[in-house]
Amino acid sequence: MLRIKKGPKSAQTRFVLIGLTPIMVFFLVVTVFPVLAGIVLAFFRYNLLQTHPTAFVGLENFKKILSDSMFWLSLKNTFFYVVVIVPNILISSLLTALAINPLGRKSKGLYRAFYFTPCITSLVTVTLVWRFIYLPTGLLNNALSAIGLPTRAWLGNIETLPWAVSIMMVWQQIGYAVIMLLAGLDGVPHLFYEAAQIDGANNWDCFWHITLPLLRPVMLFITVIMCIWSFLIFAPLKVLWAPAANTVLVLYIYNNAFKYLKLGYGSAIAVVLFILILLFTLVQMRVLRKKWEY
Amino acid sequence: MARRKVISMLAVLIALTLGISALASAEVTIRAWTLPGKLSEQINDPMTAEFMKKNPDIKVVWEGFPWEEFLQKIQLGFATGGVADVIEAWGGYVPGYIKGGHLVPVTPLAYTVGQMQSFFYPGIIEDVTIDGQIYGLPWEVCIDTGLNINVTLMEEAGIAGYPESWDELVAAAKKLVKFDAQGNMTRAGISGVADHSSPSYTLWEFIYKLGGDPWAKDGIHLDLSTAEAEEAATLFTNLVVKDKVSSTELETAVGDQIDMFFSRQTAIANKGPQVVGQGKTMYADFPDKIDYIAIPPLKKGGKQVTIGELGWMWVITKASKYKEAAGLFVRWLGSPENLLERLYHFGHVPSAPFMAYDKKGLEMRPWFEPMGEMVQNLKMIGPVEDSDRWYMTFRMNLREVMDGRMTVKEALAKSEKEMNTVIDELR
Repeated sequence: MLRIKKGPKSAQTRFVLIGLTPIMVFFLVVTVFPVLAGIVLAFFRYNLLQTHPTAFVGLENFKKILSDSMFWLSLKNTFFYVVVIVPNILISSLLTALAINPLGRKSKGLYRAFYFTPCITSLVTVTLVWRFIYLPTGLLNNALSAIGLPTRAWLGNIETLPWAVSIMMVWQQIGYAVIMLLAGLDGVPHLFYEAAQIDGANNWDCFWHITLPLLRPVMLFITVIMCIWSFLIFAPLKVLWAPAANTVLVLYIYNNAFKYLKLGYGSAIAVVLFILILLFTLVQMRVLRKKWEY
Repeated sequence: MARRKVISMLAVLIALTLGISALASAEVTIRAWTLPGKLSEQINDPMTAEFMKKNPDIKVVWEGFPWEEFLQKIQLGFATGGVADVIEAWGGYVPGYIKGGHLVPVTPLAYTVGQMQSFFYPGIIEDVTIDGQIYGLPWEVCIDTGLNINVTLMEEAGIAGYPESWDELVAAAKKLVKFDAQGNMTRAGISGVADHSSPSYTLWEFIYKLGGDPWAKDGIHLDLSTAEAEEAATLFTNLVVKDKVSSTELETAVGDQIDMFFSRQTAIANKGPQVVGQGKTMYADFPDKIDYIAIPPLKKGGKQVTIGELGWMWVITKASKYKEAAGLFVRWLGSPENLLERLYHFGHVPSAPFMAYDKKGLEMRPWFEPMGEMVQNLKMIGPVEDSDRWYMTFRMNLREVMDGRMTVKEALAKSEKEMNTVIDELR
């Protein structure tokens, strides 16, 4: 039993406990228990309508995943987004942050707000707006035909749709990475650049040997976050009623759990996705982590 | 002293409030779930108000949820016991609700079995009849095929009269299709190749029209290895592959056949009559003449079949504490006068003969004139167990053929295997 001693320190402890307990309870109820319940459900055959009795099936759901062609297609499609979106966000946000950084405080603030606004806009709204841009009679095709370039039904073609969605996702999330990188650039001491210039280093030398290494922790963080976020892509494909051939993992989980009533099987796929993201993240942190100190 | 007075006054006030609410709760309140929307409110609200006037001790409260949320709400409601008393449910999911033991029969709560059997088209209530009792009162049938025709475009293209065979339809579509300078299709001659549900409905309809049957001899599994299935799938996919009068890309990009039709990006939309019906509300200023006919027989004078599925219906939940009141309400909604009012308002495919041939209904929506005969030739899709999976399987696999990644035989074999797995899992 917890014994709280009397005195100023015990008053502080009491305050912390009282303050944290509701949040911890909320966190347990809303996050931890559902996650644990989902993991347990993965070992059951269960549907909400109870058209079949709930039964413990062990690893049967996981075995089914191995022979499920739709799962492998969804995984392949998901990997496409990770491989395309993450490097593009990294490169474009770095170039943008480097361009904005030398500006004055006011201009910097304006650009920060400009780039961050899409991040705080609902992804559904963003998707609907970009849908209008991509329509066969939309802005993009009008612009392309005005300069004599070929037009396409960008969202109608199974091959072009993922690229169209990737461009939209990069546009929406680049601001988050820019903000992080600007904060990282603020943390690089100017005396390093001064010392390097005294030694005859040019701009490229300063970037390659000072800026980039010292931004590494921030870039690692952005890479990890963007990878996780790309693995979890869902809303644009749902809103666009993407063809089944463009299904991604989270959409497949959603369909299994709530459309096909296979909550147990959907949970098993979610567990597989969780393990995949965890392994990916651990590998990234191991491979990309390197401490730089001057 | 003053504090005691305040406390006693508060106690009296609380007691009074509890007493009043106890009295008020002698009135029965039933909850009804539906999709939200102006069209629903415009018909449900006045009908409900009139019901409550005639039954002052019954209060009805409607709650509306968007489609995706609606399905989950129902599933969660059944699981937690918090489901409404009456649901305006999509018929495709009702057999699952019955199998899960979540519904009670609407007979005899609303009507007797005999009354319902004499009222509605037989095929429509068969799928919700278990052990002689009927579990849903359908106000419509879902027919998702047919030709919504832009008559003005046909006249401009010099096409006289409606096609009476598949060959005539394809010939007309070839005159109606349009391409831009780069060879991209800007107007489909006929759409419905990448629609949510049209591919599966059309394939089924073609197989039956050719004299075949997509179901195996056991009546439970699919058999798509037949010559009729192959010919049906070939005719359908040739719209893109050979005839080049349809485009999967254009359809997927625009997203909805109603939008396509009313923006003249298709001259003929292969979909149920809701294209014309909903479009007339959403695109009231559309200047072109439009009409709706059944897909003609595949050969002139050949067999005519229309494929249908369970549509919207009212069900009463087992969890309801007021089943008799719910039964009275469903009886009210499903009375002949109110079913006709609903028909006039929505313009849906009628679930009963008297609705199909109603004079006022036909005057309001002359394009519904073929409905009577179409429902007479109705064949229900059969025990697909999960209509969403059925739509998706054929939509996806037939698309692979149209995009040149699979042959017709491969697509049919894959679809048969996938759907039979679904059927076995859900039975």
